[in-house]
Amino acid sequence: MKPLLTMFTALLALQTLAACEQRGELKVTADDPETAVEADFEPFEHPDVPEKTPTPIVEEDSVVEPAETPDISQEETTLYLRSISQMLVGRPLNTLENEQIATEGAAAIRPILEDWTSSPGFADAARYMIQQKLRASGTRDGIDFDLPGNLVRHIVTNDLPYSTILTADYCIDSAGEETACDTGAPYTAGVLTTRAFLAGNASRFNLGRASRMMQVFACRHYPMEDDLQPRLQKESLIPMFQALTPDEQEVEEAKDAFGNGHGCYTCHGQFGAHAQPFVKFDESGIWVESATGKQDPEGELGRSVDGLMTSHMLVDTEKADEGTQIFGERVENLAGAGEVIADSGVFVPCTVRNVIEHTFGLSDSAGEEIDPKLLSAVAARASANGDPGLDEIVVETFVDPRIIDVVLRSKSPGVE
Amino acid sequence: MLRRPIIFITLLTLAAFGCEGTINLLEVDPETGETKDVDAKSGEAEDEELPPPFELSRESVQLLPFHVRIAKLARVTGVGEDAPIFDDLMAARYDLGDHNYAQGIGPNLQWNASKMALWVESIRPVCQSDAMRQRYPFLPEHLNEMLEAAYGREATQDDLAAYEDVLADTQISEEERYEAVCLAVLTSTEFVAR
Repeated sequence: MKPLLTMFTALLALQTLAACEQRGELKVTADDPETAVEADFEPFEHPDVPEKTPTPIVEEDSVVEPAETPDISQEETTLYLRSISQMLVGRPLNTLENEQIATEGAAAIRPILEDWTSSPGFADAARYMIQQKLRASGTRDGIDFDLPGNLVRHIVTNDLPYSTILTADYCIDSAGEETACDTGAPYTAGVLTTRAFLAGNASRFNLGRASRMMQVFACRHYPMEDDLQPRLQKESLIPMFQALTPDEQEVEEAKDAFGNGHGCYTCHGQFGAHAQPFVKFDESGIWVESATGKQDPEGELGRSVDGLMTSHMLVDTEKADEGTQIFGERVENLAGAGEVIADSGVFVPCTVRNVIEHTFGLSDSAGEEIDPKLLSAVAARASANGDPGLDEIVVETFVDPRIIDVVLRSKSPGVE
Repeated sequence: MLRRPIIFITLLTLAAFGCEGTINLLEVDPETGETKDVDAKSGEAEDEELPPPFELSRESVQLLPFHVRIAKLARVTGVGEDAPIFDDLMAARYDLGDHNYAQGIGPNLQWNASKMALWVESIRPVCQSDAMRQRYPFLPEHLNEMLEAAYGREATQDDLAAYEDVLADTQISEEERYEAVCLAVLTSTEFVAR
């Protein structure tokens, strides 16, 4: 009987899916490659990809206009909030919320969102979001890959500014208690100084760590705007990364890397700055004070000795120096880098984008298509009272009429 | 002997009603294919319409994260997420879409036949549990209460009529009927998907 039941269960599943397709509502697609675990991290954004408008920078003196209450019906309000509740608080609408919508209509959106963002379900959602962004969860080889998620949950639960994710001088254990972070470094920079982040993104020349840091917290790939990230002086880099044309490339192993038409320096003039603060963290994320950043003469290009990675810098003293320039500011180490990124005008708009991607299941490439004006406007509203918490970022995101319109349009039949 | 599979087939087909409903918010001009707001007032000057800031795909079914599905089951049953009735689900968590990046497992949120079958098998202890019976003594008689917890909305006439129609002509035990209705609700896309 059981095998028969199993067979028929499978058949009815197909029938259910077919029924949904016939109703023109839902289709099952192939695996989304964005959800697959990346076996080999590809840090390069090849410059022959057409340039996209980058996520905007919110200026400090941005004019902030409050989001208008949308002119939508009670029915539409219910549909909208039902569409986002499960990813924001892990549950459907409850009776009180339905009653509030029946009474207040669209005016209920903001207070309901504010209520959601103070609930435990929201903290869990935030934790999940950063786990996906950093590809960090579980444990392996004694490394706690849950530390980044724990920190974000702590930040949300305690109404801390979201920038704490890059500036916290502590980690949070599984019980929710403050604990020392696990790298052994004499400083801390939120999730950046967790072995989860460092080991999970270890790669030659520390390109993976630099890329992930920029991708998740600045929504940038390489090359990025010159006025955001000034390039290191070409002559300060090792010869391989100074090349701007194939003819200039002197390093044999690097010659085959050409094909992008822009040359190594275009990207690595910026990469080098962001990779440098990671020079003393070995591939398992342990901080090694004696790290030199020198290329292992016996090892693969980009690897130093003892599990460490090679620096971009030419001069020996600079190879070993964790100090660098991030977004035009001199920093002493990764902690300083975290401060600069968190304080920059790209951090909050990028967080808005991350929130949208998380809630609607958008891939990174789809996220790049989000209108920068939307991100800028939401970020400005969220930052109106200073360094925003994730709650403020989320509320201002989902009261935005343009986002409400996108969701309602997606639920309408016949809309292309 | 075939009645039970037939009931399951029928009821889980009815789960198609659990596909998240759509509401005609916009009228489509049959000639141009353009849409217009049904509430638009005539005679008013139209504001310049900004293009959508991004697009949402309507073509893919994406499961809710595993932890959300567990939280929703806990909400429906009224028990904690660590209750033994969820043991089968937790044992199959990675096949059901949970993640463990440290072990190289990303969240596969595709909703397909094999995953659906595994989900059904894994939630049978939930439907057979005392917790469910305490909250919803009879199904489909207490379907409205269950849907409010599961979907965040009241049962519609369509929901109720569909289950009544299917169950009216069948002769199965009360226990089988209860389980079938429970499985249908908790396997519907409205429950498990975004």
